[in-house]
Amino acid sequence: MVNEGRRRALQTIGALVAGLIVGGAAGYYLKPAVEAVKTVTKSVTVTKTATVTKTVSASVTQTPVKFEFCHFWSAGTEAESMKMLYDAFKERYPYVEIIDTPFKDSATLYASMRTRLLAGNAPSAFHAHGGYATFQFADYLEDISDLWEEQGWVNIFDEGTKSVCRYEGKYVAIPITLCRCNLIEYNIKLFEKQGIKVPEDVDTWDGFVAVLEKLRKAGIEWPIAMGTKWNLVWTLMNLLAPVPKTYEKLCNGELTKGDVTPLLEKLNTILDYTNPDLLELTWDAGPLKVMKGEAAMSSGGDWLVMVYRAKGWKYGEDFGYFVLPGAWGRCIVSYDNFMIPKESPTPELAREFLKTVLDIEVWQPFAVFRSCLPARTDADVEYIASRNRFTGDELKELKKYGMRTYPAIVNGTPAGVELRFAEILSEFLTHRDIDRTADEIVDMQKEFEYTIRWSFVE
Amino acid sequence: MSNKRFHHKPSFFTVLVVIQLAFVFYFVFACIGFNILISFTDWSGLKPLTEINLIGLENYVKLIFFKREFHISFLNNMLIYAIVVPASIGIGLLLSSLLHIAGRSEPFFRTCYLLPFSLAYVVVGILWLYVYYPNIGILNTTLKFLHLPERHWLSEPQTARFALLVPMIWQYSGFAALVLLGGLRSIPLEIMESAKIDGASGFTMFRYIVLPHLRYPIYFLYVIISTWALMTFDLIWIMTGGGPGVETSVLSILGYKYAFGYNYFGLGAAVFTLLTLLNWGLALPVYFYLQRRGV
Repeated sequence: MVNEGRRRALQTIGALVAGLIVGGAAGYYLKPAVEAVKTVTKSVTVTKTATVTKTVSASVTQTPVKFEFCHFWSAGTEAESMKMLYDAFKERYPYVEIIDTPFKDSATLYASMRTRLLAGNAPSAFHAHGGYATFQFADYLEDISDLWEEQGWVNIFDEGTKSVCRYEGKYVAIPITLCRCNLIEYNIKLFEKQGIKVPEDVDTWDGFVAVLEKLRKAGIEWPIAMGTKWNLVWTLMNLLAPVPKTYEKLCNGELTKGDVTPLLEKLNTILDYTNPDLLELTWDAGPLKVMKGEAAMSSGGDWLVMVYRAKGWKYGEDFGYFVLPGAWGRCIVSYDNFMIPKESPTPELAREFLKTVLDIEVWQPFAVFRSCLPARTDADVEYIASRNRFTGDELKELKKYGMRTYPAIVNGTPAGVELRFAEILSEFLTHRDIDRTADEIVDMQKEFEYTIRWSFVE
Repeated sequence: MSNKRFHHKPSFFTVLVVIQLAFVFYFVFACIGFNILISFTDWSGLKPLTEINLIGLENYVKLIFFKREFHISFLNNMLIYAIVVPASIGIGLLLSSLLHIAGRSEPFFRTCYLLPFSLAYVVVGILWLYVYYPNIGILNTTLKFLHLPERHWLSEPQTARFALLVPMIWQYSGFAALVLLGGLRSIPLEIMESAKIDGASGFTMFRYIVLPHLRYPIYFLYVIISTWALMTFDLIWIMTGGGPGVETSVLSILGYKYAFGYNYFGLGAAVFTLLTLLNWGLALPVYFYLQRRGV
């Protein structure tokens, strides 16, 4: 009797477990079909609403349309800036229910997108770096060339910016932020105390090295501060900005030992004045050391400017920026793009989203908040300069010298090249063998397939 | 009654076995099989599987004969295997002997020794970063206090490689101590007492009584710790990311980098296939031996 009871109990539990598994599996597989039916209905509603009028009818308001956006601006000011864009979109399309899908970094997002695009489970729109990072998804992206023409974006961005959104002659993405990589931030008060004038004293390479030496003699053992292996790549871009011909070769995978050796000699000089523990620190170590008074300069893009600001340092009073000799007006840029997958469940709505975020009324305050490079030729100089002195100064620099943008290594080279540079340069930091490192860089290029030919020479 | 039971039992348990087999097939064999399959292709992770090219052994040839980073990663894996496994078991043996004679304080020390093992690898990595940090790290602060030269423990290839082994040993030896303590407790007291009466020295008792009794726990620890040591990823990723350069890289980091950093999924899969084979080659013979002995 006891055995009988136990057997029945076991059978009941088994049946329940099997039921749960079968039910769960059926629910999972049937869900896309149900969603698809809903989506079709909703897409039609959106198309009508978007084209006929932007005012929202009561019936539409009652049935919110889901809009999923995948991005990697998941923390801090980046997350806040993403919210700015969502708020603007929501204000124009209140019936939209935004499904925010943040990823901790670009690599995680790309891994997820690969799976989702392959499986036909695309989000409404998503985010990726420009250039190669965008083009890896090119086969799965909607051609939005008509949108570029219709909105006049072809006329407001420079050729460098357009090139990271255009694949085989078709626009497949829009640029949303442009982070300048080639900047050196410095402690204004410390420079003034040492009688160093910017840009006069740093306008030649010898002058720059003399400044480093002067600062060391003044008691700052490591005048330039860096953190992580990536900071070495940012410094390399600082050195490459004045020589676009060499940078073009880097992005095309055609560097020779003759090109690399002078660069490494300069990097070696900079490293003589850089904190040797940089590999064990975090990426914001440069600004933090400058603010503590342990260093006078940090080498890296405008994301470092954000660190100074976050700690209460004021641009123009506490810190300023300069570029290495010959790089004024030249910007090596890391782009963030937004794009629409071909299988987006709400393609029309996704187009409205792209239009909204690039609308000058939305983009300009966003760019001011993010301290983005003001790349739009129709940007209001007064508006920007009065709200963000750093971006305003960049804008003045670009007007004075003429703006030329080149994609950063992460945008202009195949996936993995930037990482290999970081690895090779971090080894260089430990052995300082210029000849060996030059060979490694030249050999490294053979590991990758450079499918895009860039042309940066003016 | 008994016939009815006989009639029902197999069908019910067959269902359970089939479900189990389906799970095992999908989550073990299918995944390993898929990994091996794509290791013979040039898959970038984005093309549909119907469009990928079979390239034979090209990925393996590239790795074994041409990739310096593979050679370094493989040697690092072997270094970890050669040092971490014996050191963890050795220290575990020492700790378990101390626990065995600790008396009433044994539960306290046992908890202390086991505590590192309960921590996630990421937490262990961050904890040990505070030991090795150049300016604020415990190690350099101590060296400074003793007027000894400080070092950049994780930035120099010579020190970084060995600096990473210490947290692994620290984490695994507590677990080893616990397993070996069970073995020590199972040795009959009479044998030890008779050996003492016969005049056996401490070493003789250890060599001829204790060690043979601990043979199976040690084999078990060998299988487990060597697998953990060869598969290690998180700790190194957190502490050095495989750097400087690729000096502290291991095969799991290299495979991840190829697949998700370079989009060379075929090459990454080849690294993981070789890592799996290496792991099987080193751990499986002992595992099967234990199985044969019914341990």
